Amino acid sequence: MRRVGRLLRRRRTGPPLQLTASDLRRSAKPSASAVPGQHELQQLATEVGHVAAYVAQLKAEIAALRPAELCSDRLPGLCHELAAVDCDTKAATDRIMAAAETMLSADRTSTGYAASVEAGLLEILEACAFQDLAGQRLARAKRALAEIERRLQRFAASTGVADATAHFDREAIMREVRGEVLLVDGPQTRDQAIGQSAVDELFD
Amino acid sequence: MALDLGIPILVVDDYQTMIRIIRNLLKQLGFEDVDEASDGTAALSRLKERSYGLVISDWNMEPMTGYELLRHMRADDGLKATPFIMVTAESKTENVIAAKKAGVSNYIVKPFNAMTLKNKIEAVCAA
Repeated sequence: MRRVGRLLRRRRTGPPLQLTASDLRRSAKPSASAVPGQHELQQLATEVGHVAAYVAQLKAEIAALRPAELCSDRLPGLCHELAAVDCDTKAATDRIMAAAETMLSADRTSTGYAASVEAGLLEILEACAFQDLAGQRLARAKRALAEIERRLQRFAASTGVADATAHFDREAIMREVRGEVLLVDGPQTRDQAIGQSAVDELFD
Repeated sequence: MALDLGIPILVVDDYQTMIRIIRNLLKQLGFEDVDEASDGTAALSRLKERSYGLVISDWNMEPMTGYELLRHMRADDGLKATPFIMVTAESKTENVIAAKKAGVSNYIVKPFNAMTLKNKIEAVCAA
């Protein structure tokens, strides 16, 4: 029993615990004072072995999650792609709106009106090419999210740890409360949203 | 009843692109006197400086939402009669009902078109 006690103390402070067959055999050797607790000792050693195996498995699962790679590469990369889509979309919108505004303010009676409208329409068509780049960036972001989801699913399934009932992120809690009090939750998904005609019915 | 195209209009939205779209649509409808604000707090400052014939506001803005702006305006004797159109992506029935209870004049769901904006302005300003 003293030996298992030493092993457990070593587990708390020293290198990782690895119970070997010889450890168990030595632990099981009868002594004058320990003979009555032999079965208990074997049970304890088995349980400690299970705990050690679980800790080792947990470490392997955390390693498979690759948290350092997620934080240093995958998530920043995802943010970078989304920021680029935001930037490209804004630039394209500006270009399209500028072309539309030029056409709308053009003098319809001037001889160059048709040519200026044609130039404006071409400008709009060219600006719409942002969709190609944005689509590729979003596809890359979706792949990264799917990979993160796979890793988290595997981790959750293998550890079997239940989610905490409350989250402890103060900012997230404040956001949630603000959303509930001020009814800020949009834009809704297609199945949640009501159309303009349904809104109009509420005003009739 | 003919629409008064000379009324000053305040457009409130935190997205400059949306302000630009609404400005352009209003211009096409014939409204030239258009001011802008980027959230409810900025809008209230504008409303203290000048009298507007119509407020067109988004809902989801920070720090003050369009819903809060509406409630402030309806609680203020000098602003309670100003027509208020909510133009928003908040398209749940509970939002529409809450806005109606708070005294919104009309409600437009994003994305919207020029005809919807025109119809709502006509309905609100002719009332």
